[in-house]
Amino acid sequence: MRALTAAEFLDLFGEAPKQVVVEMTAFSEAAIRASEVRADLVSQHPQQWVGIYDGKPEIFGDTFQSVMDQLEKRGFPREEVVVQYLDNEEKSLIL
Amino acid sequence: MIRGRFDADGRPFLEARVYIRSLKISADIPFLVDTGADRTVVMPTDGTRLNINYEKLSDPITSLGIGGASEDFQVDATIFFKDEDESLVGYSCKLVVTRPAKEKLKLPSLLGRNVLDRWNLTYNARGQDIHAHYHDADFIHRD
Repeated sequence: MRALTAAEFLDLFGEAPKQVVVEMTAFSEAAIRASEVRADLVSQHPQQWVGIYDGKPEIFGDTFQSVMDQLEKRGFPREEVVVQYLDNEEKSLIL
Repeated sequence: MIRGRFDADGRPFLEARVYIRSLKISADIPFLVDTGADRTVVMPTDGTRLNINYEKLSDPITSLGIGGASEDFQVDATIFFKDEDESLVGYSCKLVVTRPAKEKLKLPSLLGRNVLDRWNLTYNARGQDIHAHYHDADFIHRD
């Protein structure tokens, strides 16, 4: 196991670890909030795709690509957005 | 301790920061914890969201899933998890990147055993508790 100082982390991965921790915490909290509102979204926008930024549903679309296009157009940082399909039919996920 | 969560459908997830140096990618991905997956996989929903340039992927790999075999790619990556004490715990691995396909768009990215085998994982769905103690890591940063 290699212990990294903040400077070594920055050198290897190009980001300050303190900032990474802040961003990861925000992303996890946004994912939890997205999960909490999912049931309401499914009933209000069944079979649509949604782009959720900072825990708030911002963009809806009939296709994944249409949500991605709108994210781009409206200037959302797409790597920070959670994109989900609002499926109102229960499907088993077997991977 | 690395703590995950259960989503609205009861599926266990962990968020991680993924670095793919060859593609200049640094981003957070929600991973479904999947002890049945040999490897950690980035599915097309996340791959597209992260702007992965699939044309730059050159190391093919055949993956086998319930939908049959698929021709995917593997890339060198480092995956960091946030410990509750705000340490960053990193693992270098070959990450499988699945080719974009319509039928795979609704699938979550998978955290497989190439990472999970290095943890002591506690899974308690009834108590809504999923967490891991790590045996080892490739990198660790403590503030």
